[in-house]
Formats: sequence, C-alpha cells, structure tokens
Amino acid sequence: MDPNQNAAPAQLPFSEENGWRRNIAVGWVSLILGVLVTVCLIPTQIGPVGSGATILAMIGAGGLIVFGAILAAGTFQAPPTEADPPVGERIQRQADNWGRGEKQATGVILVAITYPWLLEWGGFLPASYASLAALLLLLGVRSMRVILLLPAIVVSVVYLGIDLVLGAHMPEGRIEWGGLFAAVTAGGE
Amino acid sequence: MFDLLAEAAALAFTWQNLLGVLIGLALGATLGAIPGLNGTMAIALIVPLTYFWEPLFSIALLMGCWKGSIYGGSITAVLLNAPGTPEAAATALDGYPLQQKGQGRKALHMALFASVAGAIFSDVLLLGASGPISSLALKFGPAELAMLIFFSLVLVAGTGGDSHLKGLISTMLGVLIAVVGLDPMTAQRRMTFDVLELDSGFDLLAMLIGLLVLSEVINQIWDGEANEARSAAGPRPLDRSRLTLAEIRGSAGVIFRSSLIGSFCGALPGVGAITAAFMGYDQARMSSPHPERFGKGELRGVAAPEAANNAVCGSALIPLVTLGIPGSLSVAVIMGAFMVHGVSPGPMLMIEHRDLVYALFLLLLLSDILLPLIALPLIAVGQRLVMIPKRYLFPVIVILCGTGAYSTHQSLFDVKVMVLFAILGFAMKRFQLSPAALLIAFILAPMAEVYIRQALRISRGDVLVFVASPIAAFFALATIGLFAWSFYRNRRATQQKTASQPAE
Repeated sequence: MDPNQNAAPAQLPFSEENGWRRNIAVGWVSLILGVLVTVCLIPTQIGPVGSGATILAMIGAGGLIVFGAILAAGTFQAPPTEADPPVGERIQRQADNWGRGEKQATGVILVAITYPWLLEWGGFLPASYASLAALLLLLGVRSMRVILLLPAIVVSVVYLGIDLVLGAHMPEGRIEWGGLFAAVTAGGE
Repeated sequence: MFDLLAEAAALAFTWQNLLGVLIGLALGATLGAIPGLNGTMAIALIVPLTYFWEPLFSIALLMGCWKGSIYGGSITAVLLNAPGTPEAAATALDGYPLQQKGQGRKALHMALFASVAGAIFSDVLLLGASGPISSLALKFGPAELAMLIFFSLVLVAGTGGDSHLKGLISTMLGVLIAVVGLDPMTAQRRMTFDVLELDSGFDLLAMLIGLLVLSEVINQIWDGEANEARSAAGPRPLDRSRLTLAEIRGSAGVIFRSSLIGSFCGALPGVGAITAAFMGYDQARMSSPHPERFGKGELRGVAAPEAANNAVCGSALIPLVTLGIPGSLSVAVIMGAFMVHGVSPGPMLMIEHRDLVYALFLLLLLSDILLPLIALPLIAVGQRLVMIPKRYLFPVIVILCGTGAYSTHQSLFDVKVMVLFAILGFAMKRFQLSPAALLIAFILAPMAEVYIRQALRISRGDVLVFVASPIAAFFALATIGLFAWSFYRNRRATQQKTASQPAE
C-alpha cells in the first residue's frame, strides 16, 4: 500500500480523517463563490460601497474567501498520489456504485423540482395526487391499493383542511380540466 | 410582579390555549417517537398552518410540540433502542438495557418524571431570569448589539457539522443569502436579479421547510432509510414494572444536577440538547458510587439525560426573549413562528408585550404539567409508531412540505424557494456543512445590518464605535478569541490524529 495514501489526509489542517477530499471541495466552492460575489455581485447588485449592505455582503463574501482558502489549501498540502485515481474515474466509480437509496433520492429531487410547475399548470389536487403516487412508486411501494388510495386520502384531507377550513386557496392550475375532459370525450365520439 | 403574573395567567389559561398545548404535546410526542422525524421538523411543518390562527394559541401549540417531541424521542429509545430524536440517544444507553431486563415501563416512567422535573426547573429559571437580563440588554446600543450578534454567529457556527471552520462557511453563506431583497433603509434592490418576488428576500418559512424538513427526507432516502425492512419479530410487549418512591428519591440529586447542566447549556448559543444530555449522563456516572452499572440498565442513567435535555427548552428561550438571539436550531424555528405572528423577540418585547411574554412562560409551565397526560397513554402505542414504514411516510411529508411552503403567502414562488433550499440543504448535509448555522445566520444578519448602520450613523462613519464601549469591546475580543480557539482546536485535533496514526 502506498504510504502517502494514508499520510496525506492526516497532514491537512482543519480537516478530519477520511473527510479531507470533501473538505477540499467545500473549500474550493466557498472560495470561488466568495470571489464571484466580491467581483461580480457586490459592485453591480448592491448599493454604494460603505453602506451597511455592502459591509454585510463583504463580511459574507470575505468570510467565504478566507475560510474557503484555509480548507482549499489542503489541495497543495496533499497532492494526488499514484494511488489516487483521477477525478473522472472517481466520479465513474461512484456512479457505478450507486445504490437504490441514491437513485430513489435523485428521483425524489426530480419530483420535488417538477412539483411547483405541476401545481402551476395542473392545480393542487391533480399535481399533488400525481406527485405523491410517483413518490410512492419511486420508494418501492408496489401495492396498487396504497398507490391509489393513500394519495387520494392525503390530498383530500390537506385540501379540505387548508383550502376549505383555513381559507388558504390552493392553486387551481392553468389547465381547464373540465374543458379538456369534454374535448377528449367529444373527440372520442 | 404578582399583578403581571395575574395578567399573564388571564391571557394564558384559556380553554383554547389549553387545547393548543394538548394538541402540540400529542403531535410532538407522536412525531418525536418516530425515528427520523424530530421536533424541529414537526414545528417547521406546523408553523405555516398556525399563520391562520391566534398568535398565543399557535405559540402554545408549537411550544407543546417542541416539549412533546423531546420526551417522545425517549419512548422508542427505551423500547427499541432507536432514539426517536438525537436528544434521546443518551437515554437509550441505559433505557434499552432496562427494557431488556423487563423494566421498560419503569424506565419510561422515570424518563417522564425526570423530563417534567427538568423542564419545570428550566422554565422557573426562565421566568425569574428573563426580566433582569432584558433590563440589562436595554443598556446595549446598536454597536454592542452588532458585536453581540457577531459573537453569537461565531458561537452558533459550531452547531451541527463536523468542524467549526465549515460551520463558519455555512454562517457566511447565510449572511450572503440574507442580503437578498430590498435595502431596509434605501429600498434599493440587492441581488434580486430583477426577480420581483425576491424584493422581500427569501421567505423564512419556505426556506425553513426546505432546509430542515425536505432536505432531511432526501438525505434519509439517500442513506437507504426508505428501504428498511420491518422487524419480523415485532415489538416486545411492555412489562408491568413500577417506579417506586425510593427510586425517585434516589435519583433526585442526579435530576437536580442534570437540570442545572441542561439549563446552562440551553442558555448558551450553539450548545444544544444533545450535548446537555450526554453531559448530564456523564455527571451521573461520575458521581455514582457504582459507575460500572451505567450502560447496563441503571435507572439514574435514564433520569440524567432526560432531565438535562428537557431543561434546555426553557433556558434556550432566555437569549431569544431578552436579546432576540436564537441559540439553537429549534429556537430559530420558534423565532420564525414568532415573526410570522408579528412578534419580534428582543429586549423591547419584554417592555412592550410583557404580559404576552409571561403568558408564554406560563404556557410553557402548563405544557410541563400536562406532559404526563399525553405521554402516559402514548407509551403504550409508542412501540407501534416506529413500525410505520418510511416509504409511506416520506412521500406524505414531501407533499406536506409543498403545501406548507405554499399556504402562508399562497405563492408558488415560495414552493420553488423551498425546493431550492431543500437541494442546498441536502448538498450541505452530504458535505457535512451545517444548515442550522446557515439558517441562524440568515435570521440574525438583517438585524446585524440594521445595528451596524445605526452605529455608523451615530458615530458619523467611525468604525471604532464597535470597540469603543467596554461591552462592545468585550464581545469583539470574545469573537476573536473564539476564532483563535476554534482554529487552534482544529489544528491540535489534526496533529493528534497524525501522531496516533500508525506508520505503514
């Protein structure tokens, strides 16, 4: 075994064993974000220099630069060894080792991202029913009774509770479901 | 004082508030008993609904929920060695061995007794200490308050995450996110990128739900929690062991000391109930004539962490109501709830709404007293709660997150913000950054901004105003000292690891 493989992480300041690569990544992302905010956003997006907002933004961006640089410094203290595979290979290896949980979580993120647009177009009831059923399927529920009934119960209870009892009107959607249904049935005839 | 308490009692002790506390306790204890869900998540999900209710009723419900969730975590910790909340992890150390010995009921009753005792101790402390502290806080000017906030931010950076340095990065990110929106003084747009909805900044509730609830659900699914198989054996039936008066008397000293530790930890920003519970457990073990019994089913090992983690609740509210500074994640969520109802915590709150604040304290005491009413029946059904498959639970929570984010302002933009922060929170958790530090910084940074600007205006731009008074100078020095200490600690830990690593 290459002795550098074990020695490298321990030499890094402010990073814990086994987490050094993650710390370096966090460091670089913070550093780049801090520089980007300082160079691009503070001059264009925030008021005159010296105002409270600029001070606050500079504290935030400056902090990201300083603390990010301390973490990112680990890159130079632990140069990649021969035992260290290149980044591309590491990503490929991680992709190959993706388990069920990782795939499910990615699916849940995708459903979560589409949910606001589904709400906007389809309205609360169809969007929430479809999203909940999709999530159940994603998480491995195979019982059709659960997939059909659980979303119906949850969505109805939430709708009744929030829209009718609390008076917060849930989105109705842009699609005219009634008209669409009539058009489809008329087309069928 | 008695007139004030009488006024507060008239406000607090209504049947609606009583109902709110009871519903909150039941919800909190039930959700807290389910591993993977915790009190903070429960409160974050409930806060948007309370927008439509009376402030005091809503706050009573949320306080009950918070208190209930801390006890709820111990039910499954004792019965199944699966702490429902992280705060209950120390309780499982002796609680589960007691259950295996056939004394599970006794352990749960001791946990309940210690929880109630610890919570009452802390709430009485809150009742007595908050008045004098807020009078002292009134002497703070903008410069002192700005430095106090910076000190708190650095202290809170240690919340969660694996290193203080990464906590500071999360804090700085929170500060930057807080800049988004209209300038409070000049109404100039800042980092809004011409998105009109961003004029008022990111909505706190949407952000809270995304960062704390949805991100946690995604994180648990990523870790494979949704695919956990149900135990074939099922829960073990509860025994009939009873807690005796002698056992309660024997644990009184431990409960008192743990309550003191918990109250102290709660009052310090950044030190939460988990640390308090383990510190309480350690003091009980060290002060015991039979430390070898701990970890094998010692009743005091259940009493100590439960008294400590419940004693955190009351004292954690001291910095919030007196200085307007949330010291922990749960308190930050509670502060969000206050703000939704137009109540701004801080020294002025104690002057302007003294009766309301004391009514809140009385409701906290009421929730301590009512906890056994909810907890005792829940012990019987607690075993069943853990059996709810997460593959059913998680999808429902995702939809509730979307509904919660939407319902407060009935804005789909808030749902998008919630999803954005859920992804950010998930990424932060994978990289062991602390979403809690980000959230607290997001809440505190706008206050810091206002104080900085006021101080600079008063001093006509002289930055030395931030170290001119002894109080401001003290907090400035303390902040620098805290920075230096955290760097030194990190460096030392790394050196120790290097030294202890065997050469290959």
